[in-house]
Amino acid sequence: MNTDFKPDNHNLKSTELSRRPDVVRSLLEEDQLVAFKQRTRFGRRKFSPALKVLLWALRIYVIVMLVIVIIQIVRTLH
Amino acid sequence: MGRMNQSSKPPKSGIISSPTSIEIASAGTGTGADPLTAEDISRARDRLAVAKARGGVQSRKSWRWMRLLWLLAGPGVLVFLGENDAPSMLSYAATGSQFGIGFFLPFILLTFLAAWVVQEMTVRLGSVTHRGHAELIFDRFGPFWGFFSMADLMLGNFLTLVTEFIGIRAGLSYFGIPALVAVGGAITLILAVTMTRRYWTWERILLGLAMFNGLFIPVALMSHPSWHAVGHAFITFGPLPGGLRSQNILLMMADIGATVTPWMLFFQQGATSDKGMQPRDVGFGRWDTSIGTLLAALFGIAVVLATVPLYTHGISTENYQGAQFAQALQPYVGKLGSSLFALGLVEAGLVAAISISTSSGYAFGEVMHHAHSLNRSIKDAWPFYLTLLGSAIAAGAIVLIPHAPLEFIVLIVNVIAVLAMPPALLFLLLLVNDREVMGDRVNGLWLNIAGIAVTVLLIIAGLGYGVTTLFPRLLS
Repeated sequence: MNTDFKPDNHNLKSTELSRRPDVVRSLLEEDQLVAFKQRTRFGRRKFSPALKVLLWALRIYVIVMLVIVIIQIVRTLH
Repeated sequence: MGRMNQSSKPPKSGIISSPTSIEIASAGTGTGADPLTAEDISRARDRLAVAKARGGVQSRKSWRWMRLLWLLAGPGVLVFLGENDAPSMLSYAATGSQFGIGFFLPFILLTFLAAWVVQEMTVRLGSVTHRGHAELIFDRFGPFWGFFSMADLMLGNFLTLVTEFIGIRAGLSYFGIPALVAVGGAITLILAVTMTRRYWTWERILLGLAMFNGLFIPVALMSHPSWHAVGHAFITFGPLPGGLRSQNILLMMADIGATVTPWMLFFQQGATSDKGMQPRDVGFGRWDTSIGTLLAALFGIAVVLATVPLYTHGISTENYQGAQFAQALQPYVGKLGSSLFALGLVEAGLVAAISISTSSGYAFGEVMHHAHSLNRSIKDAWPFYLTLLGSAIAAGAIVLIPHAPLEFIVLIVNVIAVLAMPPALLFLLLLVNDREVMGDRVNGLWLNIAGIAVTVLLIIAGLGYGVTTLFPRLLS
């Protein structure tokens, strides 16, 4: 677990950190550690029907608008 | 002195570490046994400086605050000055040369304020979760929606990167530098900046480069704008020559696309996480984002003002490319002014190329569940660096191909950015309101209203563009 960053560590040089894992752990939050992030994930959230509709609606919006962009470009280049 | 690493958030209930989840397996016996990596130590070096600044009882409070701002600023300024990229500056140049001083000055400021609302959420997300945007989308929404999001990002980023190199080439062509040298030099610089293997060093170098976005300010002053007209424009939002015709809506879309784009979400959250920011730093993250917003708005407006002489003298710039603006301005702002304009274009393209390719690297590395930090070596984080450098090199190479459809790419890039934003904003709003992810740092009511308003505005802008494209006579 993380420990307090102690006042006497204020004289610590950054180059000494590799020899002071206790200080490194006190400076970083637990979930900032690379190993922690590698072995954990946020779980999947549940989708409500309304959310699914909204996600699909926006996705279809993007696809339709891309087609319109292509139409605009063809018109412009000609 | 208090706990230097105390989190102000409750444990994130959404995190899974059970054997039934899809994480990478680890033989760790518990959080206390998590081994430290070189990336952790590099990040801790930056945090040590922050901790010392916070605990500096010898110095005045104002000095401590300034020192902390210096240490914690970076992602916000970089994302906004990176967004003042070559196509954006050319959009602003087109705006000033076609419409003069009027509606678009306050409109540009409003677009940046809208962008601030969006980017502030990424600061909180990155500081609280310590994870990148792509990783969160994949984790919470699954690979189906994650890959859609990635496709939008990668397509938009790659096209935008091509336009950055177009801008770099155009800007340096003003000085007679051949395209091969311009593109090769830019790629070499991107390589050199990226190879620092320290986020802090990379960030400071890029911030120094980004400050040259301010080159447009002396050019604006040299164009001797009417400050009375500028004040009138900000108060009245007028005039808007031609009203709401399709050409004006297209330019509004381009200006919106110049300030609100998907890569900004991925970059700022990734950089905030890579920088090691923590929940107690969010206040400084907001200051960082605010400073970036104001600087970028100021520099963008400066470009508009710089090209007003072209409007005043009735010079048609509708088909102008980068260097042509600099050349056309020479009679009005002198050789020095036009040179500064061209240099500003080069800087805009260069900083954006670095920022955008880094956002691609972050996203790809997160999705691959591989190391993705500027604090890591190439060997450790090769997917990250391969994406970052590979996309930049590929984009630069395209610009050198004879008869490549560059005009096509320039035309669509800002518009595509606007069109791709609504789904990206929906994911952002869902994540930042997710208590399992954010704890008690979720959006408040007003931020949600503002975020939804920005999303709706972008959808309306997109629909307006669609209507005027399909029915061009409707608003003529």
